[in-house]
Amino acid sequence: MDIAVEVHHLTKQYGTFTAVDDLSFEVKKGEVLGLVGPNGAGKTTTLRALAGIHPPSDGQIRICGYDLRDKPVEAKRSIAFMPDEPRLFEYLTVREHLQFVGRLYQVPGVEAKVEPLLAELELTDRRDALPNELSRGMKQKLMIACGFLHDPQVLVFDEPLTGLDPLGIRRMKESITRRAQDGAAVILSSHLLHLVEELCDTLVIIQKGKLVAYGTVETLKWQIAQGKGDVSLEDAFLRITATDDANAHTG
Amino acid sequence: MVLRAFLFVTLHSVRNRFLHQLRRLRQPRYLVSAIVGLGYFYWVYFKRTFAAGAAGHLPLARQVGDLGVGIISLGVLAMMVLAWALPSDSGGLVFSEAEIQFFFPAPVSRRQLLLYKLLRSQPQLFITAGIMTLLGAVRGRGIGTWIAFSVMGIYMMMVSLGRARLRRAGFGFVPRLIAVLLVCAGLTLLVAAQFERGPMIDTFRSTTGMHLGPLLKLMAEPLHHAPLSVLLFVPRLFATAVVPPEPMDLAISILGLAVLAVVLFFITTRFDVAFEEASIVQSAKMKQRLERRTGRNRSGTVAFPRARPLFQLAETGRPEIAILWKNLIAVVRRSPIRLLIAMVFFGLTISIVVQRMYPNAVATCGLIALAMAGFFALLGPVLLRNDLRLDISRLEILKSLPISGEALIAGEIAAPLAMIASGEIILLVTGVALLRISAVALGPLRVLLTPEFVVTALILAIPISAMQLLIQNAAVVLLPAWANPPKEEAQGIPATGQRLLMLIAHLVVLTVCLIPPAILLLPSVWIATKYFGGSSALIALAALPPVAVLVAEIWMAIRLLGDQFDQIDVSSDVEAVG
Repeated sequence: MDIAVEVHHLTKQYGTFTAVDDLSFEVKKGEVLGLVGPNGAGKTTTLRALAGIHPPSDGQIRICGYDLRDKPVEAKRSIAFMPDEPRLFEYLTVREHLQFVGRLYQVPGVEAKVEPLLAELELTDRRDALPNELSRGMKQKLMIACGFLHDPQVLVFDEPLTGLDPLGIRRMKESITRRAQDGAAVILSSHLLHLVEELCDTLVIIQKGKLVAYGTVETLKWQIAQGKGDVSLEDAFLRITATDDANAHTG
Repeated sequence: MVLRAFLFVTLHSVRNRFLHQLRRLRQPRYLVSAIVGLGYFYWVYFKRTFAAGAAGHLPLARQVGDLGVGIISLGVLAMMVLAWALPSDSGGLVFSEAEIQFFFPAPVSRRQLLLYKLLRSQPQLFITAGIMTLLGAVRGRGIGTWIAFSVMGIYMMMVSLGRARLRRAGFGFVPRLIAVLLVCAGLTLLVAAQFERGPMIDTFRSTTGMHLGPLLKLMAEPLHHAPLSVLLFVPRLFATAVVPPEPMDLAISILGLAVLAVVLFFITTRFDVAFEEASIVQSAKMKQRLERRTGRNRSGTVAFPRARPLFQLAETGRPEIAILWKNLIAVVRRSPIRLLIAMVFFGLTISIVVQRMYPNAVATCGLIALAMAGFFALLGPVLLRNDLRLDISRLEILKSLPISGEALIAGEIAAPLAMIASGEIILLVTGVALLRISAVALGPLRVLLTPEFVVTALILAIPISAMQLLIQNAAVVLLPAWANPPKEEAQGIPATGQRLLMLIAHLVVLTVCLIPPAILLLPSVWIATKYFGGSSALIALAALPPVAVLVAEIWMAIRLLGDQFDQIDVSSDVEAVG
């Protein structure tokens, strides 16, 4: 089966406020999907619903064939969620975070995986440090290391480059691309449209919780340009989100 | 112009906060907790205060009179002197993050910043003074208390900058401390000498049956003689403003404090101390302290960062063990100071009481250990919070982990339960062993010396503690917003109401859970007596059926809570939408 993530009619309400409204999309294995939208569009809510943090008010989410509502543990075992704000256990060291996550995800041979992962994310020297001894960027890297540890089939990033230095940004982009090439489905949310354009195959644009555009990056750009030359993703995004009425662009 | 901006910020902050709290009352949880909180304050303070007034008691000021003013003056003097001995000599004044962000880069002079600091503290001081006035049941005194607090705030600001100025002049903490201790010693000697010279001691020795009023006046007499009266002149202004014997005293003290405020503020502005950088550090520390106190950061301080885990975590196996492992690391790395203090305090109190009853020291220690075992079983679940309460700010992360709610809840309560069980075993075995060694005659309590008692106590105490831990964790799962209120919601009447409701709910749920085992206890004892009468294992056997019921209840509670955790929406706040 090629589909790794299926989102059908996802709706999330907070009281009378609808944060995500009837959102549907799919992500294939090896595909990188960008979730973009203005502030308050419902991106983080969508990602958290995918990670099993927010139960949907309506709709269905399937991760690698497992319904997130019926088989949450199996679904979560296939996914890694990297939030924009790293929340770590203040009393566990870097290495202990990885041991803890390894046990929860039942990763065999975790010891052999830890050192290469620490090296990849430049945390080798900080393996015995507590989170309060790490910089913001290092905390972010530790969070990412915890996500990569169990070789998830689905990677969900919320603003993955926040707090990283230029070298960290380059390595993170390489990591995402490599994991996608290895067959992982990647969903990332970012306001950095050049990053989205560089990494993503497919794009979901949401506004006020509704889907306003869904398709490959090239298709969306072509639709906006309407055969009149080339447009950047930034132009396409601004034109698509310029109107309040969600006339869905799907391709 | 700047002053107007400061006034705008202060007034609008107060107004917006009040309106926010008022609007929140539309939510039933806040409305109910506000009603309960108001009811609590009414019963604890107002009703008692008004009842006391109706019963013909004299107001506080009249009762304490001149002596009260004198004693408060001495306290104020001590506070004013000791403020110079505080270790902080950075000159940092606490500003909020927003204040630092907006005011520090703004074209605002240091003098204006100090003025703002003074202005910003006024609403809080006003409310505090109002509450104190109501507590004292003396109307019309709030103005004096408010002014006294405000002027004391200016003094403390001056001292803070003064300490920084002294450090620049080469007087660090140690010389300052020595100087302050010398001043304190001198003042103590002076006070002692003046009282020794006065008529009070002789009066006490010779007079009996003297009326309270004249006696109090006589006791205050030495405070009115030089040099003590001179030293107490300024502190007396504060004291008289707070507890004025007469309205005229209040008016005079307010006038005096107004002049003092101008002088102190002038001196403060003359200190050539750059406090901005130190203020940023100070404010960050204050924020951390607040977060810890209000529960936003339950992890507390990592006192022993290099402490090793209690056991090595295997790569695979039940996920609950990973949660247990994590929480036990939290125990060994976080400072259990509060628990130790509580236990030592309790132990000392009990030992003093028991020592009088049983002079035998070994037996005393044995009884103390048994008493502490009882104390630990009841209060351990409240004191040991290395469970879901520790992870309350990370519920989102826990929700994203591939672990069922049931396993998570079981894993979370395992660490505190393991600690309670270990503590119980140590205390019970130690207690019984010491009592046996002492060979003390315990009469009908000799059952305490049997191993069966230890076993029975353990099989009863551990499930009861487990149930209590579940109730504590249920609050996190069922009412996360109450268990982890934001900083601005952790104080005030609704917060008091919430805490009260939680306590009542805890007691009610525990009682309800203990009813079925308690009902089963009577037939169990009857059956055990009938078939095992005379056996030393009688009590343990009689306890087994009720404990089995309790364990079944715990199992059901874990399942229910687990299901609830799986369904919980950890961020029901609209602000979380991104």
